[in-house]
Amino acid sequence: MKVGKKLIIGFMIIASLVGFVGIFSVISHNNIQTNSKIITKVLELDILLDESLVELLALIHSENVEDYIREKSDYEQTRAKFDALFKQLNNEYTKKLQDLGFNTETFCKNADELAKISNRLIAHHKRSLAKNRASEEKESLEKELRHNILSALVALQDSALTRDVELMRYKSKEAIYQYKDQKHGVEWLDSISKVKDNSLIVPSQDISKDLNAYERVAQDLCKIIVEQKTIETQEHLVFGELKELINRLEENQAGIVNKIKTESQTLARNTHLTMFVVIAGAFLVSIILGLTIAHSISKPVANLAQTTQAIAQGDFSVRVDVATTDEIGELATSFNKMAEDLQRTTTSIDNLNDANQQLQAIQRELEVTVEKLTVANRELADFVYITAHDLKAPLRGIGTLAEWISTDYADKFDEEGKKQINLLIQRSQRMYEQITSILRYSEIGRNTYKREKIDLNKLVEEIISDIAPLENIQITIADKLPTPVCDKIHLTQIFYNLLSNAIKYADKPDVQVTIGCVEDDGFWKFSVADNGPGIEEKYFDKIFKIFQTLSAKDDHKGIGIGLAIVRKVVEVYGGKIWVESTPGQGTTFFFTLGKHKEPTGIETEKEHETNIIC
Amino acid sequence: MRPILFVDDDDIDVMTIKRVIRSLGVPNQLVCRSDGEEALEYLRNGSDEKPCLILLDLNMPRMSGWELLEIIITDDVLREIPVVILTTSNKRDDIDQANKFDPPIVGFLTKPPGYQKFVEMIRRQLEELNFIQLENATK
Repeated sequence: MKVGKKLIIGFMIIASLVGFVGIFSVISHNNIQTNSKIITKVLELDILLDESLVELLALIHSENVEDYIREKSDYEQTRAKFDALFKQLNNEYTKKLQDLGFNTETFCKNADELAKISNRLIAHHKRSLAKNRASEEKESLEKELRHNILSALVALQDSALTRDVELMRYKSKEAIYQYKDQKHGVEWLDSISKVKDNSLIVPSQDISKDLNAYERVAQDLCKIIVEQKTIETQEHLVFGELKELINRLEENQAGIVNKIKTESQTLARNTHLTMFVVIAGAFLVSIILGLTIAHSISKPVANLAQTTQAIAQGDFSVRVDVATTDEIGELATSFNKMAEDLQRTTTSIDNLNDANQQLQAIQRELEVTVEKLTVANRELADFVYITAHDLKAPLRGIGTLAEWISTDYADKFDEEGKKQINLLIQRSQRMYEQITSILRYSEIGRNTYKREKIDLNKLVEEIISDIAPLENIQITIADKLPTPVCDKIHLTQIFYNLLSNAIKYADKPDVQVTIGCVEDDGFWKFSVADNGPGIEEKYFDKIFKIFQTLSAKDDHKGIGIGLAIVRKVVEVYGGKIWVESTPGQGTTFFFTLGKHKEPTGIETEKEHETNIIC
Repeated sequence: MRPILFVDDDDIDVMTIKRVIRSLGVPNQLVCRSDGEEALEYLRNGSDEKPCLILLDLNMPRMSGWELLEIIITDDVLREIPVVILTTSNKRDDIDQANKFDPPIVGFLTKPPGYQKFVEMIRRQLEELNFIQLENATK
């Protein structure tokens, strides 16, 4: 799988987990919302029930028919609302309510029973109201009767009946006033019959007729009272039932509300817990997934790096073990191919290395030989130096003795003898000069030298004044001269020799010598030009060799060491010297000095000079 | 008058310097010793008068001029005597080293080829040190 694909799949999994969390939270939210709706409805139902009960009580206690009719209508309206709401709740959330343990059937039954009891109660009340109306009618009747009885009693005045009639009248009065009390009604009836039985005289027809009517009323009253009692007892019973039922309904409702509340809380808690678990899970899964992907990417890379290191350390036999099909796998395949090529190549490199080692051995031998040669060369130089040096003392002795002989015994010599002793003195002096020159020449590059800033303008002036040229000689410094870092003696040797040569070989009455200097890239180019006899081109090389001069041996113009010394000094500083000349017109010597060049071939140790005898 | 001490192992040089001193008319006695040890023996001998000048060769058997100088500079009396180096060498190392012994070194002479040059050199050196008067030097 490609690395990109791996990453995309990883991101998709994480994204789907996040999506799941979102969907879950939406569902949980919906559940909680439904629960709260149910709670609202059930509470509404509860309110309606309470309202209906209050209205029912008001209905039952209504005093008159108008009140009764109004209260009944209110009660029925509330009941209808209650029924409708319950029906709606039942329809919409049947399953939910069942899950909650809300027994709709029981609730319906209870509600129906409540309705029935209520209706019964209402019917009783209606009847009771009707009885009340009846008793009112009886009272008006009784008033009429009493009036009649009173008028009859007037007629019975002075008779034995009077007292009983009075009692009857009193009792009836009492019974009517308290018609609801059965005792009074019965007492009243008793007193009427007593009046009838105890009459000593036969009452008149009118009176007996009234008494009978009176008795009938009393009997009716008694009946009404009994009936009223029954109704009251029944009402009482119905109220008890109703109370119980209401309690049951309310308990049921409260249970449901509590259940829903608990369930909602649990649901919320569960939702939080689940969300936490899902988020933690998603987090964990993304970490594991990320690590896995990272590992699946980094492991082959690490493997590759390890192998690369092994190869870098020279183990060409190792290969990358990467089985993935992504870019890293492709890289590993290419890498393995490269390692194979490299292994093949190293075999030939090994051969090359062998050859190289042989070459190095040869080179080491060569270095040893060079070292030996250097030592031998130095010894030879030392030998030359020491020999020349040691020759000086005896030669000086010879010269001194010859001088003494020529002066002390001058009168003993004839002309020939004088000539010979003078030649001896001259030749020994010349030999001394040659030895001194050899020493000076071989000293260049042998000794340690000082390195200091030399102002050539000043130094050349000093050299010119040392040479002390004659009046016909004009030495010109054409350019401003630099201040190189050199050994003063070396620079003196260069300019002294070049200038003195120019003067020494001058052949014209007006001698012109010009010193110039131009700056070039990294070095100075000096020139010393004269208007002397010039040098033929074929001698250009020869003049720089030691003891080579273009004049005869005894010309006394020179022994042929000056230019050799100049060349050696210039070369020690890494410079070059050459000559340009037109015979008959003049010669120009050029030489260069490196601006930052360290002198080479100069020994910095003195160990080779210890044997020198002064 | 204090003597002049000449230290050199070369016979001809000894002859030369004797002749030079005589020809320059230097009145001081010339004492010659052929190496450093002999010179030191002379210098440390209490009965001998200390020289007023030492003419010293550098390269000598047994004890060289430098070795002698090393000893002289540790001696409170001897290091007061002026020394003129008289050598065959004109090597820079020697000249550089001579600068380290200043004092007592007051001159550094390279033996020239030829007697006349030698005379001139010594005369100039002694004049410089006020040893001889100019009128003496002419002869």
